[in-house]
Amino acid sequence: MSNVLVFIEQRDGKIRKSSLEALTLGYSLSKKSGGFLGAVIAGSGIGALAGELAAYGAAKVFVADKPELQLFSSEGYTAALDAAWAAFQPSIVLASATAMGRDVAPRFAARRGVSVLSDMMTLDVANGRLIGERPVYSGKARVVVTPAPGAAIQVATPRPNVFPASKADVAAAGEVVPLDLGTLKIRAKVVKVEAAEAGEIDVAEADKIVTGGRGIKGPDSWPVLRALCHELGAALGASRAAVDAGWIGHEHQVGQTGKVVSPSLYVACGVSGAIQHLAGMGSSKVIVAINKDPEAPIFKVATYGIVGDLFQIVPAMTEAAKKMKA
Amino acid sequence: MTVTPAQATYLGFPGTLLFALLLLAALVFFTYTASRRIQLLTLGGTPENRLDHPFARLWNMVEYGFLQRKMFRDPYAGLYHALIFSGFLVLLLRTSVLVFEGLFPGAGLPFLPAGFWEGYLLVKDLVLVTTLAGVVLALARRHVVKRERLDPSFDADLILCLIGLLMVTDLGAGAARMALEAAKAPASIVAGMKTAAAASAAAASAALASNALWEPLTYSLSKQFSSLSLSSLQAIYFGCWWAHVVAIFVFGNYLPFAKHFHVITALPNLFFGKLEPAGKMATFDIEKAAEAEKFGVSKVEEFTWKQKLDMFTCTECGRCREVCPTHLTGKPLTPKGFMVDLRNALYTDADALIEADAGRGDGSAEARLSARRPLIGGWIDEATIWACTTCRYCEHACPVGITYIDKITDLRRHLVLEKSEFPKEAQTAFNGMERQGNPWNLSAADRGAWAKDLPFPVLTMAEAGDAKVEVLFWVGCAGSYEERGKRVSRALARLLNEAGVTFAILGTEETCTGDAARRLGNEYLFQTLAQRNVETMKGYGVTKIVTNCPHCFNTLANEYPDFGGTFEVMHGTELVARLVREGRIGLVNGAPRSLSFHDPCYLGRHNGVYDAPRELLNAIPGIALRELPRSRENGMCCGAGGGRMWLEENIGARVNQARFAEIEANGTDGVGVSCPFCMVMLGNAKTELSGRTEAFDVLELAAQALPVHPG
Repeated sequence: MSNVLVFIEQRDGKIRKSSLEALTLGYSLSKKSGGFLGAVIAGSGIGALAGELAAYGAAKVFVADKPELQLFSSEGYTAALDAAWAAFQPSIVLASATAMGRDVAPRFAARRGVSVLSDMMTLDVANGRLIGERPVYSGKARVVVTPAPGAAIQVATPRPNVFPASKADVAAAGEVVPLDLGTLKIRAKVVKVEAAEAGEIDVAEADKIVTGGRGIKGPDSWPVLRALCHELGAALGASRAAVDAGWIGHEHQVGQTGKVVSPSLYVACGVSGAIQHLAGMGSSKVIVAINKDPEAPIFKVATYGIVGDLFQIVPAMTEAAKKMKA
Repeated sequence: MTVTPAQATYLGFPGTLLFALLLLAALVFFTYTASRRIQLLTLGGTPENRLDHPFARLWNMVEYGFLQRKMFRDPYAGLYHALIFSGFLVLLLRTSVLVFEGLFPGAGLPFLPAGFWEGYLLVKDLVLVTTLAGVVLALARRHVVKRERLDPSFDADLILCLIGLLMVTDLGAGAARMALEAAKAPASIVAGMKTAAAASAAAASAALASNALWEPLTYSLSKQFSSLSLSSLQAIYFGCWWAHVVAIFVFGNYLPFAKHFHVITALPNLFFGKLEPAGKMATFDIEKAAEAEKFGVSKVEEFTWKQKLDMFTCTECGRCREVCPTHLTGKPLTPKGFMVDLRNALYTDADALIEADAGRGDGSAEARLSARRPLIGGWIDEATIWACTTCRYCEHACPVGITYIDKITDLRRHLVLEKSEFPKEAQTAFNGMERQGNPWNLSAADRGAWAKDLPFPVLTMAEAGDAKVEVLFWVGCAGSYEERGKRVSRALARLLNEAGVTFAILGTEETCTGDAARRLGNEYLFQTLAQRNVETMKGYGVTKIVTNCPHCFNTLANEYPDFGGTFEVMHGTELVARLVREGRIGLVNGAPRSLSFHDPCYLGRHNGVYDAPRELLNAIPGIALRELPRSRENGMCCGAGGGRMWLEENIGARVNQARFAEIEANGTDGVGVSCPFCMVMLGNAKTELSGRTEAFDVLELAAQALPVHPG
């Protein structure tokens, strides 16, 4: 019997979707290994979140609720995970491979002298040992990894947007266990968090991206693309030409000198496909190019190419996506 | 005989003694200053040999120093500088004579042959006035007909006035002395001392006639003084003489403290100048540097002595700044400002540096040094260091042989290799070069794909096997991956094929030459790539290379010899122009088209290839070349060099747009380029500005002019 503990991220009192994915994964692993599922959450004023975690199968929810945990801190949140581990004694610990998870999980593992299976695309448990696949060579190949035999604790960070998040068939007890972390010695403090244009998905993390280039003609056209982003759940990208023209901020720029991305869907609208742009998105899984110029180099890398006016095509795609979802 | 100022006594104090004391004080002070400056030069930096090829070095000194080759590019400044410089050369002798006279009054001039002196007097007399005119013109340049490149400078005004004072006192002393002698000569006749006096009078009038002949300007000034009393003349003579002496000593001692140190250091700086190809960067031993944990330069004293001599020599004339693309587009880097900041960094802590180097004292010098303003981030902004496109305009413009790129890249080397602090976009390019052998990180396996749809086979060296290959076509990253670059590669392949040149490529065995990595300071990555490429080419026994990328061209030709790879490297335009000249290619097709030509920095200023692309353009039917206002040696950068191609350009206007605007203003149908990166930059600018002038590679145009072969 081995318990599974999942580190849960919350921001502004909301649990991140990737944590629910990890929790769902943890639930299935705990069922396979005949143990219980626990969740640990840190923050300030977050008691109300425990119920939601129970719905995903968490039998115990360890809550570290302290004012100094209001904002993320590597040391504070790791201390919470560590304390939950001490109380729950799980043999498997999961944290989503987000910026926060990739910070906390290795710190925790280092404290316990074990390794981390990081950025996992698949994860299973066989004979009590975790086993799964991790991408290498920019996703061109996968390597199968498993912790060293006899590891007391097996730590893994599943990749976001890969595992589904679904509620457990039967909600678990979700017993809230407050964690006493004592006096926290936090040496590196997060002073404040400044979010870029709230409500938008970060291009670097997005699984789907809709990008506008010079062909969108001006900043007034972004709503056309944003509508498609909204329907697809995609992030908004921009070519260097569009950023240089001052139509949008640099944080949206995809390409050699912007973000290098490889989403599963990349929709390039009015992007000619200069090599500097291709260098930033050429490894995307499915590339849809919309351009008036049939000679545009973007068509050379596109999976699907549409020669035509993006101002007609993009709204039509948005409509179609809306209908499919309905 | 007139008593000279040195012969006179002052309050019972002999003039000679006074003079000797002044001279001694000046020499002691100067020796002290000079020795401190020399200590500053030699401490800290890695040793550098600048005594090879002494005759080439002497010639550089003659050509750019004595003959002022670069100065006349600005005719106005060239004129006044030549007036002052020639004055200094001529008057150097007069000053040594003055010192001799001061110490041994009335002893005559044992070291000058008779007859020479008169001729010299005439030259000197003219030069006093021309130098003065030079000073007036120089002051006018600073205050009336101003140039942007000059900044207001108290130093400059002071030095110019001091030079003026030297000329005026020299003239004044000479004229007063002449007037004094003229006034005394007739008096001795009146005194009635018949025989001896007659002889003396005859001698005196002969001397006066000789004055009029050999020192005409001093003589005519002395005429103006004729109404003055003997005592006034005496006062003017002595006053001017002593003022002149003091001014010389002050001038000489002030030079090392001011920007006019170049009066002393410019000629040596030219002698010790860079003789290696302009585009070659210094190679250092990575292993040794890693052991010492010291890469590049982070403290000003770590520059080599020659680099510090450059700092001493900068006269802040601003010729480097006038056309610097970063300055023109509002970035923080100006070569002049950079050099002056380096010098200020060096001078500010000079005392502590010298004390610490001598290892004396109580450690207070070391303490001061550890608390000093840092070079990077303190004296020089990081944005300044990354702004440079290494276009080398500054080095071409500098009349006294100062180099800038070496210093910028030394600082970059420190930031990249030691601190790992660099614009984050550079990482993408570094990763690409390291993993896939190209800065775009595109698949290395696709490197030879550009040649697939040609109507004739393009063999790789491996495929060619034992078959004779005349020349290796080095394609480069842009020529292999960038759409337009690939078209140009196909054009060159067609031209070579047409001429019957047997050539091959390296295909997947070729990787980036590392030009951008090196210029961005990543010497480690550069050397890894260089060693690999040299090994590959030596393995195939390559002797001749043709490439269309000026950056590859420069690196292959000038930098790979350091890694054991010495090849005959030609730019595509050089080889094709030769093939056309030899009649091996006929360029027959073409429509009338006016064309500008944009010189790539790494083909032009770094390697002196200006004529080949023009020769080729002129050989294409229908093309009428119209030169840009700034072309050849004065061509303006497109903004991509020095690794800037791989960085964001966030400060000021964009270099490519500035250059493109000039090209648009030239009003031609198109602009010829000979570099794939210029092509990208100017192409982007055309899109960004919704411009009209399209860029064409010279080889593309040449290939279009080839005869059409049926089938």
